[in-house]
Amino acid sequence: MYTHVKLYSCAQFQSTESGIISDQKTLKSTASSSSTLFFSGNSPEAEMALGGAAPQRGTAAAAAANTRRRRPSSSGAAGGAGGTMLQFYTDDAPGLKISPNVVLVMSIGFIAFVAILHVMGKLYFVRREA
Amino acid sequence: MGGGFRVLHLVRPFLSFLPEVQSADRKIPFREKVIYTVISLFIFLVCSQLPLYGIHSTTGADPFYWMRVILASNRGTVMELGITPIVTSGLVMQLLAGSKIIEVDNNVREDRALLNGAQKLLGILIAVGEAVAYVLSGMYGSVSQLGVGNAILIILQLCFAGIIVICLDELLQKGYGLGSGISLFIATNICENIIWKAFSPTTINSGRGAEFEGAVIALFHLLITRTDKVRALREAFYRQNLPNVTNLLATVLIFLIVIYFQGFRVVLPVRSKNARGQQGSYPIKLFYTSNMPIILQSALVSNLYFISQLLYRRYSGNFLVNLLGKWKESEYSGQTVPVGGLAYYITAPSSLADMAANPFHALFYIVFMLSACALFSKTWIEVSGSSARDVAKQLKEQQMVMPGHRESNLQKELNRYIPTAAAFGGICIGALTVLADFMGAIGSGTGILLAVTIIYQYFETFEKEKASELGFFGF
Repeated sequence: MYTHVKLYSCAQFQSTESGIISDQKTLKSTASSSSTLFFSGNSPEAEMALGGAAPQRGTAAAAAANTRRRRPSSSGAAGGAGGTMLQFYTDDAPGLKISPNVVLVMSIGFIAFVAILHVMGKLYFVRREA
Repeated sequence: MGGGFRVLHLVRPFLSFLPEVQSADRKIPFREKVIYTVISLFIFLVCSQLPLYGIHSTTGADPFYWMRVILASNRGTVMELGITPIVTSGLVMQLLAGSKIIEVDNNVREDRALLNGAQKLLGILIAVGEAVAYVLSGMYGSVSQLGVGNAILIILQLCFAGIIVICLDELLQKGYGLGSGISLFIATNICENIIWKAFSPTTINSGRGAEFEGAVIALFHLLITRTDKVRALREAFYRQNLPNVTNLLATVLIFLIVIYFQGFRVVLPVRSKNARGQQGSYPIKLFYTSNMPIILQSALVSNLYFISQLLYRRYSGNFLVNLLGKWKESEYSGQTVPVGGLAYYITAPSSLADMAANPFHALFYIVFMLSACALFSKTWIEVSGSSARDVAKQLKEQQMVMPGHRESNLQKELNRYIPTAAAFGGICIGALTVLADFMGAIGSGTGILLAVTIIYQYFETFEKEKASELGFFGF
């Protein structure tokens, strides 16, 4: 019986924790202002600890977190005074959309290009001098 | 605003040409994030070893030597510019927006897009400008020596490398990777330096026979080859011109001290107003501004060095120029080092013996470091929006209150801690940098402090990501 209760509370803990973590995410996106370039400063997200959440309240808290999670988080970046040094906002801007894989391929292509330039340069000069 | 002319709108025609990494439309799993981060790192590392095609020579004094630590650049390689373009454009835009020269309405989506675009455009322009300046100033040999074709090729390579760094950083920041590209690159550069100094297998002959450059390798080499083991040990620990074991131990010690101090924090209890029973805590760290003070301080100092060096080369007889700094080529590295003037007094003394010989220099340096770090730290919380007022606003937006205090009191309560934490944390960071410099830690105090704080933050992000992953499965 006792183990059963323990298990039960453990499950509660799990669910509340996940709820709280999603909560953290909303918090983070709401206050995106001071996640600065070099991660400087405290991130404004308050670390939600499980402190006073009694087991029977766990579900309620999780539910509350759930409803909060559904809140559109894209509106988040609105708050804050532009604390980031580099990326002021991370929401999409109109522009030449490229996927992350394209970036990687592009960089590797660039490296290959420079390497080929070196090789070609060597061959070309050797032939001309010979 | 009144529909008047706005500087920001000048960016609009270029907006559609700027490369923009798509935001992730799904949740990127932790494993994938690690893979993206590792690949970006790999690309960066290759780029910072790959020499530029077409350069003639890179000998002679390097005027940017002092900046290379914070800019993650490597001389003569594709990463010659490193992260300079992004950091410079970021700082400039931050200052412009902060001082209201460019008016930005944070609530308008278009404004945000324009500001982002402006920043990226400025970054690319700076990359182009710097590349042209480098080539024309004859850093790789004069243009006639290089030939026009090669000169254009060098400029193209540098520009493209700049664009790639911008894209990689954006890729990491948009949720495909961990942390930000810039800090990743800085930390990697410094760590690479430290590892190289410890284990480098290259030999250098400085009059006493061939010696290994790496401290650890030299230790074993000396222990094995010398017959007098005690003297061999002493030499390995105290040799002056090359990295020795004491330096290595000092580096490790500084690492440990910084990590120990990272844990110091004041935890303020907060309570959610609408979800009852949810207790939270808002920790205020001792290193509230983290590594920002030293970044700003070293940016200031390296700019001063750069200007002073340029002036000294042109007008070395001038009294004012000499007051700013006198420079001399060091016999070991061929690097110019300050030997007089203001530049000398804000440079760390090279050793304890040097310190004893010139106590005023040491004193001035300590006072300068501590006060500059404290000042920059206090300024930074205002500029970056992490001052007591901003934090109070954010907590209010999240419906958080402090138990036992009225809502209007929140700012006052935060004000008791945040400015103190910022100033004192800045002083601590400055003191640690000074300590690292005095103990002769490898790769300058600034570099080590940057690396440790960045690695620590990475560690935190890592843990958080893992936790959220677990929570995700538990849901």
